[in-house]
Amino acid sequence: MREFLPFVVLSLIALVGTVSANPIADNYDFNYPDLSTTPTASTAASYQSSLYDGTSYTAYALTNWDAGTAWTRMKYDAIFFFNGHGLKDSSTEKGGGICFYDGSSYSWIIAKGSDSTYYYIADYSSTDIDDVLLAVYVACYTAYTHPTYGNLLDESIYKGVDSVIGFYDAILNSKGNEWSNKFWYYTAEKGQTIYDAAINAKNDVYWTFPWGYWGIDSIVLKGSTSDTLHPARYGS
Amino acid sequence: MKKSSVVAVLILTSLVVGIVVAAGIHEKPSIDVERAKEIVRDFVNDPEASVVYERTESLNHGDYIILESKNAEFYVNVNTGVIERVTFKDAMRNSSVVRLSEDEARKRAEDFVKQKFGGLLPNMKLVEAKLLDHGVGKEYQFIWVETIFGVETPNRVVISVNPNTGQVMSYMGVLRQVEVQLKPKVSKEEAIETATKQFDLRKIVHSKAKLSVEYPEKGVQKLVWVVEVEGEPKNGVMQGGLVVVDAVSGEVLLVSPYM
Repeated sequence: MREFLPFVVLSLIALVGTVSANPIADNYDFNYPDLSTTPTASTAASYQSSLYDGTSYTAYALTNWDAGTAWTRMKYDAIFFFNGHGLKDSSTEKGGGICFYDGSSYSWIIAKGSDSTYYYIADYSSTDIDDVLLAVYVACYTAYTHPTYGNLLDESIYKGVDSVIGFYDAILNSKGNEWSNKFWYYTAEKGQTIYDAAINAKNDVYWTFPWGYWGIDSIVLKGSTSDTLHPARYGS
Repeated sequence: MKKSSVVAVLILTSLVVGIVVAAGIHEKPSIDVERAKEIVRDFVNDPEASVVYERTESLNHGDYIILESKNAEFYVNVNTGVIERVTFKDAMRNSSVVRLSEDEARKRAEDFVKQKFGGLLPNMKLVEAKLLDHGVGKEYQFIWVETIFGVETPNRVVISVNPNTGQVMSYMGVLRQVEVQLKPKVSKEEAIETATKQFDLRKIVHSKAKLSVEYPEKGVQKLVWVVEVEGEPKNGVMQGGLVVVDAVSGEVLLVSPYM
């Protein structure tokens, strides 16, 4: 047995090297007190780890993680997927933020601003997240421009993310989950472009119970959305 | 009539009914992949069109064989053979410029409905007509829904038109026999009250409800109240959402909060 040990160790090192060489996909879902978006992160991770062309992302399903950790991890991401609550304070003060919940407290990633309690996309350097291929923000008003906090999609593109997806209006939990599952299926397993996958998933949502889009048709895409997710790679 | 005779008649009746029902199910038309391909070729008026099998999907309101041609994807209803949904992939390109007015786009949509859906039903109303801006692309979206006695039935058409080229980008047309009574036993006020109780709301900003025939389960139609309740935001997030209430029993069939 002892003579096999170096081989085993070398194999493990090689395996870890191989795994870590794959681009990273971080997928966040939540069990908030008022709604659940699980298990959409694990569904997304499952698709991302086995793409249409045989390549793969090292994909993580991260349930109930906090904003600070997500903000730091985004610097190493090829894919950032968030499915949860968006920001709304009033009929005019909405958009510009995504809400994390770690099981006991809320924390936020916001497009831009100065309050020290939040984490800001604007605070990334010009190179921090420019390797992100795709950021998907499934939440209410993620494509809407908040008068103070700005626009998540625009700020992400400005910081170098290749493609971003958000929603201009309020969306429903059941429809958001349905859209997410279909989007990852189309883009990862069927190899469709980001745009085609997003629109096809949007169309699918209409005829699931109950009839209607319920805000999903307010989907907004920006950046290089004619790209596909394969081969697995970082953004440029 | 003797007790034993009554039992015999009942058994015989049950057997006959069972055989009739079983025969009915057996005789229900079912489409195989080859037949579905022929249906698609008819739809595109091209007997030589290359059509390949993609997958099957089972939804509450129907089962589908999904086929692909070079430029489109087709959902063929397995039981009826009707193409109930098409996505025209090429038509989705070059949609960021708006050259057509809404009226012009609607005319294109109505022409398509005449050709492929057999025209709008008498009680179908245009419930939505808008230009959607998806950032890198746009689409005119038109939705017609049949409404009988104030109830939205499953019968509906959803069409998207490319605002630049005028091509139909996607089509969905569903026709079903309404199998439920359209008179609710639960009032609108009761449905809204039930819906409101599903959320912990400080103050209600608005609420609305509509009657609809839905498929909450596979193959099962129900008359429901679709209720939307919005509360005052709390902790920076929206409160409330959508609640589907059985309009006959009052049972809550779905709670879907805002995200």
